Amino acid sequence: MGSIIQLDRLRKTFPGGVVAVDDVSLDIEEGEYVTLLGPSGCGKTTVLRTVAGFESPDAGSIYLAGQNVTELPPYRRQVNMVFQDYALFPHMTVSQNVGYGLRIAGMPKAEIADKVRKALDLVEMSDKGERQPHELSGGERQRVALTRAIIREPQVLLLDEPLSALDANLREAMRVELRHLHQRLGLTFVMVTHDQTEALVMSDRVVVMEAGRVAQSGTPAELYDHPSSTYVASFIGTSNVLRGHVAASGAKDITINYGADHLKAVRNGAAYADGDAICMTIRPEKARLLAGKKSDAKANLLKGTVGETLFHGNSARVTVDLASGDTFMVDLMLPNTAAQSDLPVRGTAVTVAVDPANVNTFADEAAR
Amino acid sequence: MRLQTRKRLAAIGVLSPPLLWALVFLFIPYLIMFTYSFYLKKFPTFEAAFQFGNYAQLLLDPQYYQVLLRTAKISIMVAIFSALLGYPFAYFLVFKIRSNRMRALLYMAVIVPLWVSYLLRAYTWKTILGSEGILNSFLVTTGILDKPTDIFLYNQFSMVLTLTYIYVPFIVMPAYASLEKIPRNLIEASKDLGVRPLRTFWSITLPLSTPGIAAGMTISFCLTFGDFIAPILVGGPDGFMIANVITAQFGAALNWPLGAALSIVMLVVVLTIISLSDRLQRSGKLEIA
Repeated sequence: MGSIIQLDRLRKTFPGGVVAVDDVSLDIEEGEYVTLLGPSGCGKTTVLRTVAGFESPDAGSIYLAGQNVTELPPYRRQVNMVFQDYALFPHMTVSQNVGYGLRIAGMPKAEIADKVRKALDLVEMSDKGERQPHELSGGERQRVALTRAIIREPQVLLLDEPLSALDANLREAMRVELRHLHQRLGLTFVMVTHDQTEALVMSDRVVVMEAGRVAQSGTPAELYDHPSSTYVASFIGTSNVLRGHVAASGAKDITINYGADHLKAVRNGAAYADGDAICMTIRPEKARLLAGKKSDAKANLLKGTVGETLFHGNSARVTVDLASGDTFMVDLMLPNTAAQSDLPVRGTAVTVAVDPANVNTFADEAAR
Repeated sequence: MRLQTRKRLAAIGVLSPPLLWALVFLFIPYLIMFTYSFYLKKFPTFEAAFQFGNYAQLLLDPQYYQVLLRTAKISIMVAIFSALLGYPFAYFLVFKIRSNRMRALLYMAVIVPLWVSYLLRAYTWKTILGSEGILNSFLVTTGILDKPTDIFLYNQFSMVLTLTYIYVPFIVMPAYASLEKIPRNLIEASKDLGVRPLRTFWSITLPLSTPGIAAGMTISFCLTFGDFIAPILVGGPDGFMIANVITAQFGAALNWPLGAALSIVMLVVVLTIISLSDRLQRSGKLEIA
């Protein structure tokens, strides 16, 4: 399977000089579910709209199945889009909405009716074909918009914040439904969202964007375990960020001076020179608290005192004030044998233990 | 006092002045006119009666029903031409002008003439179309004509032209409002589904802006239907419209009952058009979902 979309050094500046997309290159494989993730204004929607043909880039090219489509108008591109607020035609019924593109293309009526029915069946909406869009619930509109977008069998389906207009419960259900639809259709999905959970749950690959650029691209697990900047680390999940300097780098691991401590981290491919400023990110649930005099020879140990404890039911987040002055969050899972009263009390001296494999490192951008 | 009663009293208090106004200055006059339309003319005055002679005269005497038909024809033409000029302009403003300032400027350019006296605007066309007018002097000096012609003025053409000019703003305003309300992503969605711009216009933009066009055409139709200045200024003998006949009945002809009957017919026509258009706009009133 080759790449279905190739973006080559795409650049888009809006009137007023705002650079929305800054030199973005991206390859999307056929059948992949790719999510562009980032806060509003990071350029993710502009990238999507450029692929659809609603914006033309100032520089760079877009290839769709190997064909350069940069100059093609939207109505001649084999992609379809699910709009953020669905963009259903209010003067048409559900069936008319779904069959609209086919009707204008001149497909025989009977054939359209057949296709529309089958497509609506796929999303369990076949009994609502004669309804007007305003008679539908949010979730139903969403399904109609989806059906309308896939009925022309596009090469790529674009989804612009498809779940943002739904309420929380429905959103969760639709996540699963979209994921299933993707598996069933075998289509390439490109989704834009600002919701990190959505991105992690639904996609094969997540492209995190920052100020018009690609900050990092990888599978959800890669992004979660090995963020390459504090931006990505803080955008996806919660991280403890510690700053230090490289003391020594070995074949397998590196030693980092952090305050008075020496921490070990497993190498992740990046090359550091001794003395380089370095950032360490550690997920709260990947650190442990050692009670009393217990020790762990293999782990990095950080001494501190317990600050705040937040009880979440199945887990608790404990803030530890480290000797270095930083605060460090540790998530404790609470098995059924533990009670709320077993949680550490404020002011208790504790040791935080982190395995070197769970210390993610990258060059400190703040020191550059 | 119970809350319910107090609320009701407050509602009556707020609503009674406008209701009173409507009663005294609208319903009662209409009622008087309605009664008059059944009166019998007895020169030099008329006497109270209940007979349908006036209405029969309207329907049977070609002098009257032809004026009615002509008025309807001119009003329809004005409504159509205003729409043909005003709608594309509104479309252009909403979709083609990128700069907000430019759009506001052009919109004002259409609206500002409404601040100028109606009489003056109608008179302008007299100075353009007249035999001594700008158009004639241009044609003569350029040698296209060897002497001024009077075919431009005092006919139905000059009336339709003048009235269209005057009522175009009434199309531009509602058309602009309804076009502006159409979410852009509907047009994008149409193109996304493989539909070319022209077809997108026919299938999406035009149907969604129909309420605005209908409102505008209704206004220009109704205003033209009751117009009596343009026929006097630029209309000439074959441009006489229903309102002129009504004026004459209440004036020189001194036939109030017939004038009242004509007014009632006119009122019925206008109300019918308005309610039809209202129904159309309501059916087309789409909750943009």
